[in-house]
Amino acid sequence: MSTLRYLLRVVRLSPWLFVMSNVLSIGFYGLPLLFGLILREFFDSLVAATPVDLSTQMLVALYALLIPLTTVVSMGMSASDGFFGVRVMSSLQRNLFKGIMSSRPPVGGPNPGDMVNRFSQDTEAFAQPVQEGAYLIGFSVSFGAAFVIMALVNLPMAVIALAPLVVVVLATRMLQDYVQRFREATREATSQVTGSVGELVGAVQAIKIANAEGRAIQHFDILGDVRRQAFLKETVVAAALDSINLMSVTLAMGAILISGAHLMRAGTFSLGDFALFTTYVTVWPVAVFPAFFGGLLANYKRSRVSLERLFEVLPPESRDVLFERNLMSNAGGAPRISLDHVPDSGRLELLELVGLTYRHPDTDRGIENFSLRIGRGTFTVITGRIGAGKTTLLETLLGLVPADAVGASF
Amino acid sequence: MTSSGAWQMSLGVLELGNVVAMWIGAYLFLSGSVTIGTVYLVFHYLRLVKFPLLDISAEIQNLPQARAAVQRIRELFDVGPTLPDTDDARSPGELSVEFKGVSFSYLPERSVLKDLSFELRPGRVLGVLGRMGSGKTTLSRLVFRLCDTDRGVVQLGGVDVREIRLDELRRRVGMVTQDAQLFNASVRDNLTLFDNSIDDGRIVRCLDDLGQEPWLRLLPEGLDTVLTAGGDQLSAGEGQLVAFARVFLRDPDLVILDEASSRLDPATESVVERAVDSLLEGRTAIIIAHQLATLERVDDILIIDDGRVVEHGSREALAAAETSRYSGLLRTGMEEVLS
Repeated sequence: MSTLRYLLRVVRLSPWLFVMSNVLSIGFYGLPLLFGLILREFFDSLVAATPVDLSTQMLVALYALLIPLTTVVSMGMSASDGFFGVRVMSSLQRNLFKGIMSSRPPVGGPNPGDMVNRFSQDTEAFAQPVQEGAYLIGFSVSFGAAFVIMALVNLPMAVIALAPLVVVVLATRMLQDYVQRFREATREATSQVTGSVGELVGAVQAIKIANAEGRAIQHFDILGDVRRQAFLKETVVAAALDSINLMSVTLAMGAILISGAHLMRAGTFSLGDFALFTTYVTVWPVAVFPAFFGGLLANYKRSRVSLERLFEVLPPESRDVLFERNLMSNAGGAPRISLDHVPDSGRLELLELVGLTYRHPDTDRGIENFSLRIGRGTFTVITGRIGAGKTTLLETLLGLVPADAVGASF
Repeated sequence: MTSSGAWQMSLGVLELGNVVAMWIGAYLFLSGSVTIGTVYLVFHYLRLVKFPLLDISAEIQNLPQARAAVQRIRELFDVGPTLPDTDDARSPGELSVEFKGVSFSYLPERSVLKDLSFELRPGRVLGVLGRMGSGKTTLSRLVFRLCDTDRGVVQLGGVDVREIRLDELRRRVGMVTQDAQLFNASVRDNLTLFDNSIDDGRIVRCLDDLGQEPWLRLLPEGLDTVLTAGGDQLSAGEGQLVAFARVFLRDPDLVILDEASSRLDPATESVVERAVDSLLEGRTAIIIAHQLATLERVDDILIIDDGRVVEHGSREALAAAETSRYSGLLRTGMEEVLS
């Protein structure tokens, strides 16, 4: 199944919030464009280079009115998008837990620190494209609209102004794999530290007994130092990339200045147009869009890696559990546990096993065609050598492992 | 990308700056006091300061969270050791163990040990027997000073344990717990508990003494093999042998051995027994016994019940006495004392 199909199943965990976030995102990213348009009219009305429809005062008032509107829309967007994110993450983590619990843990599972990592970071990395998808439409519409508005003013200038953004993003994209290596190293080091915290806390007595308090802390220090170094490297590289990205805005401003100067002298490019262009290349939905889109593509790739890591700790038969919809409500406190399914008249009279079979997939040991009748009030001893199947029998009976051939009745 | 309401508010307030700039800029330009370039410059500068200002406001909002975190960390730092260490360290000589009228309770009103007294002479091995909850484990914890007595004195080599420096005490006394807690680290670090002053030769010799040389040879990278915390690579018996090796490497004068209560398979059992033999050689030892067979190697036996000594004496004497509990055990098996 393709990554996209899996991600669509994640969207289905909370589809309405996803739609709502996308609708709000159009306003959230679109409204800032209006500020540029108002500024353009404002400057043009001041120098009266082009005829204006609205008076200067009206423009200032309009600008002031837009501010609370933008704030309200962005708060709504934050709420919807944030709630969607929490919904998706908590559903995924809960489902992952349920999936792991639904069957025997896989043999040779990862250490606790790594497991914590899978729970927190891999679920997040897997769902990342979906989280970003919640404002993809608004982002794209806003960028497209900005380009159209600029192109209507002057098409070559629009291309010149936006080209540096796209070019720089393409260049930094090529460095992403390089950055990714540092990110992986940090994650691995963090995983070691969190795992070590768990171990040390769990082994306090063993450490005291061995008189190893100082050495255990020293060991922890070393792990912490490795993490610090990895984190520092990642931060430096990421900051360098960020500043290159920021530089693209400065480059765009330069491009507008150089090519705009002679157009302005010729009178085909007004001061208002100039204000509009410089606002658009610096205002964040437009300036950040190329980087956002590039990031989305990279996150899409990374999403698959994390999904595979989640599948690794899930038994194959309970992978679908990960995408189960469970409507967790914050209203009304914790859910009540229903005991309806416990039969109240159920006095166990007879336990009967007919042809119960389970073989461990890795060792091929287990029980085969096991039949047994145990009546109420009788006392049965089950004995046998190590590996004869005593534990497996009980596990199969209790449903801890799936029976290959079923035949237990009460 | 999106963030808190407070952040949005700050953004809105900064946008208001633009409104003011428009208002005043228009007025000044139309009155001829500034050029249109100056009006534009103000906008440009406002744009430049916007994001740094937003960053600062975000940092300020993080402060209360940081304060709460600092508070929680400080609470941890404020926890002092409940066992006061001593400065004028007295070093015990030959390690005898003596309990004098020791009482102890974890919770008030529920004493675990009640006026317990006994003596173990240096070089002898004591087997401690008792039901679950009779106070066996607590007894070993007091020797090791994982906790202090409520009344009475525990002496090692004639010195009150409270007058021995903790690191000296724990260097001289080794404790083998029922199961070894393993760390996600190399086999070497798991055996030495991160003490890199112990060279590999000593580790290999120690494993050899414990009959674990074959196991070592099976490890893909020898002592550098990294164990996972779950300990999948180790069976229950091997886990216990790791606990033995840890103590062995530190060469203590007194060994406390909390014998595993669960049965091991016969092959591992014999290896563990050999390990116990080499561990006890030339040392004073206390074994918390769960199996009758273990008692065959001890010199003295102490049976405790409900925190009091029920029976104490040399094994031969107790075995010979018709009426002793120990001789009763030898006739009927272990279950009577342990269940």
